[in-house]
Amino acid sequence: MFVSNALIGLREGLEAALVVVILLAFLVKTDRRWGIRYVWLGVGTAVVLSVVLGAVMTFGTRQLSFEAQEIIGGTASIIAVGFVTVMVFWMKSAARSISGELKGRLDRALDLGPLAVALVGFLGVGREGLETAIFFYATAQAAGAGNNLPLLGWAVGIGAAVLLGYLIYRGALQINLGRFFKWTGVALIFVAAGILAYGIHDLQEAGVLPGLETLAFDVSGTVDPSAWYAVLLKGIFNFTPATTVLQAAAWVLYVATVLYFFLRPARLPAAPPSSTASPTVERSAA
Amino acid sequence: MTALAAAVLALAAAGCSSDEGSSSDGAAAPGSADTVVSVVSTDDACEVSTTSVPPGSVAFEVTNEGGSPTEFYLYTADDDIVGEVEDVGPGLTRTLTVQDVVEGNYVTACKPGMTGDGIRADFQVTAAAGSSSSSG
Repeated sequence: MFVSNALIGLREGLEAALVVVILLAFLVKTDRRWGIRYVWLGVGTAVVLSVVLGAVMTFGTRQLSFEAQEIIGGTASIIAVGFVTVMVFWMKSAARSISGELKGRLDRALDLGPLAVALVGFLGVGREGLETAIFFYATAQAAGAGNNLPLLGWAVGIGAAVLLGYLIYRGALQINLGRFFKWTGVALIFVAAGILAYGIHDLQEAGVLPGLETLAFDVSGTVDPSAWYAVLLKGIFNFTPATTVLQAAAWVLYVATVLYFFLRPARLPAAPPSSTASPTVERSAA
Repeated sequence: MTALAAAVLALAAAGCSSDEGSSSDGAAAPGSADTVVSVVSTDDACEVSTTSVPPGSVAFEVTNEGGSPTEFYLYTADDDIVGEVEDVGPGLTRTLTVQDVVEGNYVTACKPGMTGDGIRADFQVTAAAGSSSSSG
């Protein structure tokens, strides 16, 4: 009972922390410490919103319909993927400017502004925040009824996720600058692909996208979803043992496209990096 | 930032309206539903306190007495999801509330280990059921 709930806490914590941690490492590594407070602003807003909405849904009589919950989670995840994709190509151009390929300052049009940074923090934590808050209240109610184990387990799981996130952050800071951009970029692409697949599944559950029951594969016979390695796979890569065709197709398409453009050497020194169909963000964006 | 928060809250408010057959999960005050059904989910069983309820709102209080996290689903006879609650950790009780459920045949399913088709049982919504509440 302790371990199962700890694993759920670990998974939820990792899913929330990973993008935020990599963004923080990037901001520190590239002397953009001004961005740190905006990340925490976004994260803090998401936490407060989740806690409040979670309390309303747990103790109140107004309800958020199942479909609405899935639509919000799915849409927030897909929007998050858009921002992370922009972030990945921002890293690529930052790498080129630092290595001297781009003479002069980083192209301002591609520099992320405070709002974009805060939004990535908000979306990274908020997309699953409501579900996490509701789970927390359920463990609190169990504790109120005399069973402390789920709450303690969950709290330990969240703590472990925070610790793991911190270690990843420190580890990312140690990598030499040249490799840092390439490998954190690649890691982010795989994490974002997982978030995309997750968002698609939410929209399939809500009935907005078809194909909920059309599975590409189902290995839950061999990979028990509540085993620790499955939890880590889900927390980091959003890998689920039962994956639909739409999820798998989106994942493969995303990785193939973005990885190709990310790893391809830039053709001209001053050319901005190619981007896929993702929103560009400017400092003046409202 | 405020614009985004406002958008999220607007979406939430829109979802809060009582749709036909809408459902929600969480641990919300089950007393606000017309009928409360207790579900006890264990590693190999899914005990639903009653299999016949009147139309209206139904709250399924799902308690996990098994060893691994479980899920609870309510399906129509055609296998469409009416509502679900996932991540019911061992020892926890979470509630699935379905609003405005209409007469018909449904299927309840517990999925211990959050995998597979689950332990299924027929579930009837019929005006002849009269008011029923959870027992045991």
